[in-house]
Amino acid sequence: MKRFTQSVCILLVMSMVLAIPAYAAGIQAAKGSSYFTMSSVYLEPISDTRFEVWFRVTATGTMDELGSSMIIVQRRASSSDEWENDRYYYPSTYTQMIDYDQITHAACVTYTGSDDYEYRAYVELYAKKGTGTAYMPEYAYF
Amino acid sequence: MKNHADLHRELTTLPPEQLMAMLQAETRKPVPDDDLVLEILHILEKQEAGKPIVLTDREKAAWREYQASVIRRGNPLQPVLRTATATAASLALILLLMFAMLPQEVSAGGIFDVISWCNEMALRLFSPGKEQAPLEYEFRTEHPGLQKLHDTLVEYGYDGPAVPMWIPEAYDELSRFEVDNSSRCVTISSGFTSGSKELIISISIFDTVVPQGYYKNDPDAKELEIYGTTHYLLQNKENCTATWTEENIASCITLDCQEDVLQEILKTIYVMEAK
Repeated sequence: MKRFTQSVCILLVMSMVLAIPAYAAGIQAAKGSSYFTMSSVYLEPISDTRFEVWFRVTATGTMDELGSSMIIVQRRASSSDEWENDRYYYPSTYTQMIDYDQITHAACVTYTGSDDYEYRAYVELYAKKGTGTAYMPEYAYF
Repeated sequence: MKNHADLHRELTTLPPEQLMAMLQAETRKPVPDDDLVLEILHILEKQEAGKPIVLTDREKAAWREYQASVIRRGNPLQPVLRTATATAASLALILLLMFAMLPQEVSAGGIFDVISWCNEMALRLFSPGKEQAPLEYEFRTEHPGLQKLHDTLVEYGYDGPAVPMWIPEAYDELSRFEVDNSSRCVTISSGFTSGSKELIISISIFDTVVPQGYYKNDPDAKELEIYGTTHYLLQNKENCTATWTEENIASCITLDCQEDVLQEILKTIYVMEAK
């Protein structure tokens, strides 16, 4: 519990310091998309062991389908250098992950962990328009 | 050698003509006695100060001749007066013309308003770096979709510049309008269609800092500063995106690549009026 809280606090401070220059400071380098204009993914703590995985995406136009096709919460023990997949989220179960006929979509899924690990989330952004489909991988941190 | 007091007493008894003769004789010596010369001059000065001014006949004739010449030329002050009168008349005419050219609201306000206006004009002439009349922002548009976007922003607490007041007439249809809430911000998005093309305006109001990224395939982003705000123009494949932040507001506009049109749209966000 204590270790979990410490990790959250450290990552929160780091994320705030890194993001202070501007809300839109994270202009991606040479990774254009015909479907996505902007994306934002992050972890939001709810309590000592629970947090939300948030994503927000703005498309280049109205998409037939827009959101996330998959979210994976990964964890890493302090004694390890390797991340492991702990939990998977799909739109078939978490219907809030996809919206229809939208320009922008924002949603979250909730995860309960422990203070024995540090956490991050893999978020696969998704857009579909007509016969075209796009996927964009992003990592969410605190 | 006589002392100074005795010399003074002896010299004061002599008439001016004799003192003058002594002075001339002393000054012609190879080595004049300076003390004697000074004493004679001092006594002569005192003697002249007490005497009334008496003109000689020659002096009287010269004075009469001068007076006659002044009367023939007229009042010696007349040229000065003529010049002063002409100058005053010119100034009056210029002031009258200036008053007639003043803005109506200034001239109708009275002399103090005129003085205040003149001071302000002088400040502008001699202090070019100073700001002129304060500019105020007021959102005005004929496009109902843009008005709706602005009104929604105001409902969420932001009434500053963020929404363009103009977009190309072809995008006359508001096809999409969404409000998305996430944990740290609310995003208001609007889509305007022109046939198969779409213009997207998305504005996010943040409670706290949140990481965010924009997609582009060109490594370089162009910068465009308007009214002090830096906008980044990104090439994102077949689309162009303009993105900027102001306080806790992050905005972006996306349309198919017409960068000049995008710039014109951006300029209309900051239309200000002088009050």
